[in-house]
Amino acid sequence: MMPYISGLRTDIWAQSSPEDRLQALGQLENHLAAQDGRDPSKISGKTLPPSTRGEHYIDENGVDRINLNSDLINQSTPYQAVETCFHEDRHSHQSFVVQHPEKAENQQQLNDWTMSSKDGYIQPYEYDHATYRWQPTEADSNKAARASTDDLYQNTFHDTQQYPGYKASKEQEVADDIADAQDKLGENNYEETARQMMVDKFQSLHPDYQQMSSPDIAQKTPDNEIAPNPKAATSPTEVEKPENQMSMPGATPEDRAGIETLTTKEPASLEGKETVTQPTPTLSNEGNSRSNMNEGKEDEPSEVERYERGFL
Amino acid sequence: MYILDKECATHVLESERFNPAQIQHILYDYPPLNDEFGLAVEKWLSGQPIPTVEVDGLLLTDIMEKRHSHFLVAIRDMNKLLDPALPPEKHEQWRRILSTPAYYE
Repeated sequence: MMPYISGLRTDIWAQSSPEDRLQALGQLENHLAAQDGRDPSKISGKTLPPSTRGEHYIDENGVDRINLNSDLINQSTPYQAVETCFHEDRHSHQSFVVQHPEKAENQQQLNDWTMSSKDGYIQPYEYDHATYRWQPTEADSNKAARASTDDLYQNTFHDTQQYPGYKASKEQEVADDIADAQDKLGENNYEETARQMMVDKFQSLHPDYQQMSSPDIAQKTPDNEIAPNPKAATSPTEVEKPENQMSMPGATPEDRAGIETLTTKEPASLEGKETVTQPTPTLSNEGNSRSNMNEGKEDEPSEVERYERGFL
Repeated sequence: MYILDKECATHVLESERFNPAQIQHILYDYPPLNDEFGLAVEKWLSGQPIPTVEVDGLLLTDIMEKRHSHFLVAIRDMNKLLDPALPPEKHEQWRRILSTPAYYE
């Protein structure tokens, strides 16, 4: 049951200052965090790129933070700001579950969220929007936020004036996201394909971990570390990076034939990266945080460089 | 129809520092393109400036920007708009998708 936070009501929001709106969103976050039994995330309004609605991260002091795009706070209706708040709060929940495995709904959820928190997370610019949008943590956050926003404005506020229009636009957005994903990732298995790409990324960076794509083989140690594969060397810590990471799910050998030559090449993008230092296998406190988005950034082209190279 | 030379495209993508998994994702099942796009692709392959490409009132550069798409992905997306087998309602949806910004949260 959603709390009745009057500052989130459409008519009150329209007359409120940005500070009052943020305060109301903070009340919502307090409620959601209390349901989990965790500390609430600190919510701020921030100038973000127009295509970024919000972000969740854990700062250098270990404080869980949510930044909402100031443009959403300044909108005359609260809906998208509230939905983004629900979305980012769900990322806080995911991080909390990874730290408290007993809170997970099932083993696969725990595996997926844990791998995502440990380098498996696919960043927005890494592949395409569909892969980013349908990886496990993002698909879950979007689904949870959509349901919670409906619950708040339909069942708590009984907003029958403006909310139905917003809801219709969001349902169309979801339908379009599905159509895009079906085209790019597979008609019937787009979500599983995106999930597998996250798993592949995790496993390519942590080759000594037991495969965690199946709940049956997933194991967890008491201190919530992912169990290393007993067949893999636990020392030394430097391991060879797999040369062949071309494991696009669903690709047939025939499909791969045209680009198999890649595996024998030394692409410029891998120069200096043939070996990676294996990190100590402890569970990071950072979930789908943008705080680790810049890891290895010196190897990644900047947005301007990507633009110049044809990748915006 | 124009058939993308995947080996050549691979070399260009490598030079753009995409990793093998990203390259495979872009080139996997890459369809034959309408001839209209062939010239643009050839110019991209040879490192020349990409010409203006417009379909159904949508500009290639706008799609790349709004969807944060690579050139080859945007070309593939635009090519679908010219698919005569695409039902009108799907065509309308696809056009809407390509003209709608992709958001991150």
